[in-house]
Amino acid sequence: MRYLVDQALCCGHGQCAALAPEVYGLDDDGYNKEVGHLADVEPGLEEAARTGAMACPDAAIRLFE
Amino acid sequence: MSAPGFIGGRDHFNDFDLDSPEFRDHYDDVLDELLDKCPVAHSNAFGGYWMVSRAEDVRRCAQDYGTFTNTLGFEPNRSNEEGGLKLYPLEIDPPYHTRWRSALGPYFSPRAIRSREANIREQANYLIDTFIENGSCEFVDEFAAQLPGRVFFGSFLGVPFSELNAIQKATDTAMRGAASERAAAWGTVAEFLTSYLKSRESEPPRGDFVDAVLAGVTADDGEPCPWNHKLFVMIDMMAGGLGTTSHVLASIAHHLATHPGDRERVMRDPGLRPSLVEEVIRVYAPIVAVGRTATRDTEVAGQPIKEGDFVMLSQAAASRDPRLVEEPRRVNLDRPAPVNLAFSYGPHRCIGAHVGRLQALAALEEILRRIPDFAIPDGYTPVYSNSSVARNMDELKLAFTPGNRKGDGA
Repeated sequence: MRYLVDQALCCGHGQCAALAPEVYGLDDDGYNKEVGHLADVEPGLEEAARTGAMACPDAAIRLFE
Repeated sequence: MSAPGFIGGRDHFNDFDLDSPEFRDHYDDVLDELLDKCPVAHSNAFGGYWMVSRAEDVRRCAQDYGTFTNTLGFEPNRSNEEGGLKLYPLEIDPPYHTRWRSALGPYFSPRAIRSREANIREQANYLIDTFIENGSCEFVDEFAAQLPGRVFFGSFLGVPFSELNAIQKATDTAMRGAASERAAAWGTVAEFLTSYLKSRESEPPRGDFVDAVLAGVTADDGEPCPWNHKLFVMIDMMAGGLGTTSHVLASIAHHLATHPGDRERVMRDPGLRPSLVEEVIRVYAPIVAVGRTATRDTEVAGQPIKEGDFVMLSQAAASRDPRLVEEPRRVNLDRPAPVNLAFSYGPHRCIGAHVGRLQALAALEEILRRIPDFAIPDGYTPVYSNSSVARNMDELKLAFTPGNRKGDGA
């Protein structure tokens, strides 16, 4: 599984990292640190990735299964 | 202890009422009792509604916009008559909602609002100047209720300073004035925002969120959204940030005046100030609950919910759910940042969360700098009210060593 955080949509709510810290990290300004490019989800963490993506108020995280 | 759910003479499990004096006066205890024993309470007010308190349930319902729609009002009185004013994107669902959030969100991100900070501090200092020589103030009227409006109209809309008092006063009356005066004041506010939008339409773009509102988005019928939806968005961006931020500003002052240990720590260590802001928002959440309507028969925490039932999701209760945080009612400056459910969750999570935080932090710093010894008069307790969805501190008296005015009144 991989995920893409839309640079234009990520507004730094930090919900993804709060709910799935094992998948998502934030940069110093509170934005998802992988914005703008495809990032890998470690095998076994797919469910956490879904939870974190679902939590985004701006639906900025897209998952590719 | 009387029967479960009975507090202050009311059965809050079977006869809950957001507007009842028993809830207002026993607010913290009722929320705790609901969280502990009654995850879905029932109200008989306004034709009946449910009150969902636990974090896990609030999250699940807030995320599930297919089952719980926002399009049929968010207050228990469902005052969503045709032709009335609405709050968008609060009162719409995805996918229309998503288009508005995508258009507006970038203007409310931490980076986008950073440039507002100097102006927020300037506004805060202007207000402090109005009372600093007196050695006392009614902090809600003279500061907390004023600043968010001045920031919205002055900083975000660029309304000239000379016009700020008038529109701020109308907005204040609309939100917390006498019930008989509110409708007229809302009319004034809507008129102001309408003519503001019209005037911006004929100006060159400023690269702000108003440009995004004017550009609009595609409605669900594939056509450009109608003009009145743009007005509804302006009303939401304004209304969502005013009373809520006022309550947070007042709660910060009240908390520090009554918790000398926390005050000493934030005075000494600026790094703890954002934690104080976050914790105050969590513990003294300004939004009690926001409503949805069930689109089909379902259940929440084992309670059957029928299609058409109105369901209040309680941000204030969820953010202090002991299943989510330890010692939930304590402001803990060392708490690792939890998901702050006071801003809600899912697609309708507060779009202005970063603005609220920035305003609270800037105000806190200016207050600490200019009236550092502010205190509550002996034996005084602040006055609270509940207005359906919101918790308000209506009065907070403070005393402090008088200081000098700094600004030139502008």
